[in-house]
Amino acid sequence: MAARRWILLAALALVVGGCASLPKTSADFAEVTKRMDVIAVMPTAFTLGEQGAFTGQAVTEISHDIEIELNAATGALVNESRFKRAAFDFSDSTLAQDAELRTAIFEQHQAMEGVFKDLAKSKGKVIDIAYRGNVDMIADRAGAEYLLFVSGSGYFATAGAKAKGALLAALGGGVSSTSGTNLAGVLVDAKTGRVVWYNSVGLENHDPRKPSQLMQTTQKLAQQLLGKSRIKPDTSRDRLLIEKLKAMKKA
Amino acid sequence: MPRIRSALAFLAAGPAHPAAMLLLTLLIAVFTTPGYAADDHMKFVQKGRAESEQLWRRGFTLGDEALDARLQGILDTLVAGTTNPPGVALKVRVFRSPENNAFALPDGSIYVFAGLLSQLTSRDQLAFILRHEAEHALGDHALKHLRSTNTKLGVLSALSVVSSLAIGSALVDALVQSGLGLTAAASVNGYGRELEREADRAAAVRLGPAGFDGCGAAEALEVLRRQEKQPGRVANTFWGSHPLLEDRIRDVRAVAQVRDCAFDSTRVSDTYAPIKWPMLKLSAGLWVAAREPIRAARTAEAYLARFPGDPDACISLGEAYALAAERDTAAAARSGTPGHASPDTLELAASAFRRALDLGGPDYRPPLRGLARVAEQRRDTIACIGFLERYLAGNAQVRDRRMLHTKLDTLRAHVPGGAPTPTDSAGISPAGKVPEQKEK
Repeated sequence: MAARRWILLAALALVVGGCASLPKTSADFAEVTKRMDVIAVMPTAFTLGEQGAFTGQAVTEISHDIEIELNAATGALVNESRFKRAAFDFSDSTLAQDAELRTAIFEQHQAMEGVFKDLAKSKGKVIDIAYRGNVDMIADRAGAEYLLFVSGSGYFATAGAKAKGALLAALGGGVSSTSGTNLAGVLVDAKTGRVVWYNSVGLENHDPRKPSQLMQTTQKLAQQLLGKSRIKPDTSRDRLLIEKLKAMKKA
Repeated sequence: MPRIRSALAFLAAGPAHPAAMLLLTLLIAVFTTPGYAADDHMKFVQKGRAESEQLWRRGFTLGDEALDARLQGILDTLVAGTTNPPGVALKVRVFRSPENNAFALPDGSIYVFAGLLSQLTSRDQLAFILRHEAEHALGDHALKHLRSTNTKLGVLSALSVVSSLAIGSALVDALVQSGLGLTAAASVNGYGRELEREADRAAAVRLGPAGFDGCGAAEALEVLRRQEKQPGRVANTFWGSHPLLEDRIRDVRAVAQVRDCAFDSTRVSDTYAPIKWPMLKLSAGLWVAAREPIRAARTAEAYLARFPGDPDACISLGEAYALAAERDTAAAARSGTPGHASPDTLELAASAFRRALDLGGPDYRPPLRGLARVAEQRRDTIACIGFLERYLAGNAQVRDRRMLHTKLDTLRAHVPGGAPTPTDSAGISPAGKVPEQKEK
């Protein structure tokens, strides 16, 4: 749900715990990863910001498109890893027919809010954080004992904002990035109802509208959990969302 | 703007420093650019539609089709013969929140919070709420409000936005951070004092002709007034997003031309009861989920006063007390006096769960989980194991069974001498008859 809030709390966790304390894991993380088999990739949450102009519905719609890309990227990384990805459909068409599932998703978002609050208070690399959502329904349907939540926020600058930034940089000497993507990931063990892994990354000059850069950020986020990825980010679709956004602005 | 929004988000996450608020106020006033043209109506409509979809996708809407249809029927009666602006289609849904609120998005989506529905007492009051929100959508208030924010009321409105965000609920926080800006703005700030007054008046005037009691307007606002702590008049002048409720009540009475409205908040009309009571019961559970034990207990008790034989409400009450006891214990531990900080609260929780067990019958399992929780808080491991065993018996498809199976194994490992002999500290034998059906 609250992608940006999660990221903010993740940032706060960084400040409190120090950058060196990421990723954070539960004390039994090593045990968990030994027995871990199937992972359900939960619906991702992403909030897109834009420097430069009001965009009407564009930001909300493009944010959802990025959520779908992020979900695909996370799923691809799980598939590539030694774990299996649970085949579970969280698409709009499934949600439309399943009010119970929508309720369950609402609960997961609410629980994740609590997790990030607790993460913000946690210090050090070892965490002991309860996940207060009913995971059984999701776990039953997905056939997975582990739920992976990925959320994020990002921004990009319009042409005008880039020009303004360049001007300010020339005057002030500073250089600001024109895009950035922040991601946070949480793995929940349904058997213990606790968070077993948490990581957060932020990459400047990574435009969240570009699937290849989103994949790179996701790879960095998940590396410690899923292992080093050999997937080469595909740049061929990088213009799709950018063009869509342009078309929406013109409409 | 993203940085300003991020800064706002930090404010929303906790108590805001006055200097920081002032700085942000100035930033908003200075850096927000108007640039809204007449054709921005459609942009707002589209933005509203996109946010509506996200709200649905993320489960914010209750999805009770029968209830939504009932509310839609009232709304349709109210707006019969009205011409909608381009792109606007009035559609009402119940918002999954126990708070007292309602809002409209520019596409005509109207959301009434479950908590508000649980507080109203008649269809006339609900009609006022729906028509008030419809006025916002029909009158293009989102666009008008944003224009005024960027012009003559810039600084004051920015102050209002900042103050509202700083005191906003966790729910509104979440909306802001989710990028659901219109939703957050509409649900926290409304559309500014002038437009709120305009919507009040238009709604109050239209109640009578649509076949509703004009007193519903003042009564709905009276319900809100009794629930909310109002700011002082001076504070409201600078910070308030709505007129003071006492002024609004006086105003709608005048325009609806009603004098003798004898409002009895304890009397629920027969036609509204099928909406109110289920929403009150739901709200108790939602307050528990939001980890607000006091509100949860109050709401559950209000429901139980009307339906004393409802086991689900007893569960909500028990969970509220158990949560309160947990908090007390944690607070005591932080202050250096660990132990059972609140035996009385725990006993209230146990009592509520026992009552649920009596009411729900032998196949009703949730109280067993509650009693296990109480036993755990009392550090009575053996009783806790007993209740958990009954709750989980037969591999029933009960809530949190994976986690509780693990917990049970852990507890058993810590009990010397193997399987426990039940000694029930909560007054109910943990080793009672094993239910056979799944959790309701």
